[in-house]
Amino acid sequence: MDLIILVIGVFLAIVALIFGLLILVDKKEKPSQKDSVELTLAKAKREFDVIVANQSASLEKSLQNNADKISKAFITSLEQVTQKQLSEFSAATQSLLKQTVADLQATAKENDAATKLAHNELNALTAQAKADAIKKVDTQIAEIMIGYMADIAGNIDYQQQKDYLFSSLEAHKDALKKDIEASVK
Amino acid sequence: MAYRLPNSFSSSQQIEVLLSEVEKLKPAVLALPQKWPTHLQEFAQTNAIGSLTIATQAKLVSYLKALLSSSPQISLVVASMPNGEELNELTGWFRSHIHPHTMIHIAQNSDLLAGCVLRTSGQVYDLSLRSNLFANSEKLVERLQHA
Repeated sequence: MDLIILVIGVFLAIVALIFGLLILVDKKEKPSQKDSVELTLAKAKREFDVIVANQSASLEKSLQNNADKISKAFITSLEQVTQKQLSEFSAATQSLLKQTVADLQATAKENDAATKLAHNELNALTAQAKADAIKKVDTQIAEIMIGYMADIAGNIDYQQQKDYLFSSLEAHKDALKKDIEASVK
Repeated sequence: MAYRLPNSFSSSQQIEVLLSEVEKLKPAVLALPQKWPTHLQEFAQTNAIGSLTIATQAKLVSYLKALLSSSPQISLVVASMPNGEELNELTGWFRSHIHPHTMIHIAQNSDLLAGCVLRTSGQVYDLSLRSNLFANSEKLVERLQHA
């Protein structure tokens, strides 16, 4: 009896062990499967993410790189252009500045002379204008006077002004004679 | 034969009239100066011509025609018009000092005040008192201011 119980017990133990093992195996098999899938999934996801990330990163990088490149190129070009322009501009500006300074200096010198000349000319013009104005006034006064004299002297006969006539003719006698002799030749 | 031009014949119009009178003089009166026209009588008196012949008539015509074509012409504008004798005197001055055959065309402009404006074929001479006053208007004004 004891033996039978012992055998049954061993058998049960073995069965239990088998079950246990089986269970364990199942368990072990499930996680690996699970792991593999998940792993795969995860891996895939990770890899995908990585890829995406990498792609993105690479894209970004590429973009960045490109942008950098573009930027750099642009900037470089710009810089180059700018530099060139700046150089040229600088050169031109410098030249212009030099010329302007020279001109200003010359103008400053000329201005003194020009100012003096302008002053002199202005003074001369003013003096001339003044003289002309005075002359106009004088002429107007003279016209009035002469007109007045003509009014009061309108009845002066030939005898009263004969001396003036002959003295005037005498004063121009030589010129008259030369003129007449030339006309009759 | 040279003739002396009377100062009373101051203008070319008078010479033309004289020429006409000489040309129209009929042979019957050539020797009768009392029957000659006025201008011819005056001319004859100045030149002591007692009578004319056909030949002398022709010479006189030639002389007068030459005189008209060659005599210098002067235009004279005076402040006051001279009478006959005064004009003779004026003409005499020109023929004595300028040219013996000077012909004067005279007109009047009282604005001249005194003196004259004289025009030849090439020149104008303003010898008037008016222009003289204008030329010296500064002095005139100065004198007025200090009067």
